[in-house]
Amino acid sequence: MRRPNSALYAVLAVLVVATIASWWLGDDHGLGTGDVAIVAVLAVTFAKVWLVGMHFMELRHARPVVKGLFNAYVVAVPTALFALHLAA
Amino acid sequence: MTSTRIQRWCAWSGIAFLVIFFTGAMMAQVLPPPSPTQTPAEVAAQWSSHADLKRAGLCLMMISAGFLFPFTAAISAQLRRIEGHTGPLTMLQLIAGGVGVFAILMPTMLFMGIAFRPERAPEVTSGLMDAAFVPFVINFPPVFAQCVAFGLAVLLQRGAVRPFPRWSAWFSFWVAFLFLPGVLLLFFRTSAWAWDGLLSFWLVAAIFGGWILLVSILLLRTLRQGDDAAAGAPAEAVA
Amino acid sequence: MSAVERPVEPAAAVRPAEPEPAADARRTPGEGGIWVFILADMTVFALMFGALVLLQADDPARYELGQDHLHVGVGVANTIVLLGSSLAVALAVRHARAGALVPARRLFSVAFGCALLFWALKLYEYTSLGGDGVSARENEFFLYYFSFTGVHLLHVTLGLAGLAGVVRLTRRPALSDHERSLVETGASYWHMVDLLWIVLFALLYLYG
Repeated sequence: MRRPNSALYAVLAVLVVATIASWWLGDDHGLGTGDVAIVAVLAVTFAKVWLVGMHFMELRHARPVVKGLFNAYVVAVPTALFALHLAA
Repeated sequence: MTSTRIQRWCAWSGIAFLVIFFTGAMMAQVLPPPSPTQTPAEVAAQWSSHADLKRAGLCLMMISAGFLFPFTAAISAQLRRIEGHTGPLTMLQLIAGGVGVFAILMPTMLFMGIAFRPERAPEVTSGLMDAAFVPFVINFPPVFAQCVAFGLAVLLQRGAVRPFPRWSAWFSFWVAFLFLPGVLLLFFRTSAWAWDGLLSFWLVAAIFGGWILLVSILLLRTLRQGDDAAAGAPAEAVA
Repeated sequence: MSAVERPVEPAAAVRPAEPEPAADARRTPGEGGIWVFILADMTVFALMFGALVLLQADDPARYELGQDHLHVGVGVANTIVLLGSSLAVALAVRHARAGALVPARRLFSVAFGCALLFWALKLYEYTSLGGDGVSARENEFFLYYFSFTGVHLLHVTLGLAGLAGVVRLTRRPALSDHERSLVETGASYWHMVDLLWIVLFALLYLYG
């Protein structure tokens, strides 16, 4: 309780806004289709995942192994997904 | 001391199972798995080529299943130390591991029936193949129960009796969980859920092998460290 | 991976020297083993994400046609429901750590309610898609849609059991260290359920 909870509410607000924004963008308002849109969706999505991990899961101050593996996941998975998209 | 040495052999038999089973499966060409979309003619042609190599591979698969008995017994010997007596988890692991041998033997023996006379009508071979391969991949309840019993027992470890690291419990639960969606292979002949798919076959084969390898290594480690206590004979004295 | 870990290590080496171990920072929540489960499970889901990306690349038009049948609104609603439940759980963990078990229990119950709501919305979507004559058999997009969201729903169901257990724990007058660790373990699992849905939602409803 020492740490103010307002940070958590702010994280939630960012996540909700990002969800609704990506919905609106995907709904033919935004970047259209193609590789740019795909990169945008992947980037926003895994940024959200990172926020959940660092703030809700409290991995910011976790053991380096766990935090490192989580960070590696957040970088490696979207990169691999985009590589798959390009290769296919 | 004698019990420790026997248990060490039992733990090694888990690794022996992996080596013999996967070698045999590759010789019999059930690894990598054939596609469930093969026509009867294709199935028959596959079983007709290198027939003796396949038969030899199937013999290895059958033999390998026998190594799971001592492996299962070694796990229960350690679970008994944790529970302090032959408790429900010790018995559950033992029963499930025993039935797990059947889960390997049953499809293997059906494969043997196929390999025995591959020149029969292709439709018959194809039908037998379905009857063998579906249970071969889908049969999760024994190993599921084994993993859950192991995991629960590891979480119950108290005091000085700690043969397994706690994280191995969570690993086991994860393995058990992953077997569940395998039932989807009954519904689909293509995609990642088909019997040769990424999620139904490859993932499950990898984690099944990985679990046996991990538990074998952990058993060997515990037996090396614990010596007398790990033998488990006077288990209550430790607790 | 080691490249990511390296820079963190000096800071970690300093930490044990500091007093005040009870502060909510500087430790991994839950018992260590749950992170084996969580990271391993996330890896399996990464395979599913890969399957979706390949499916889309294989035939973008078919993928988009499938997406047109989905109810994006329901998907967004479900995302927000899970995000809200995650916040409730995160707040509840802080209360539980501070010994305030009554608000903690209330917040965990809210998260449990959110999980039920997620289930209900998913059932609505499944039955509505069924009513549209959509089936997993005729179309690979729906095969993956139903099976992947089904596997995720299995996780939600396990999470319901976990949250129920945590709610029961917080009924006690006080928590031991072990019980507090159990609460954090359940919470961490629940955040993973949220996190996996974030990616599934994006790939199934928005991607492409």
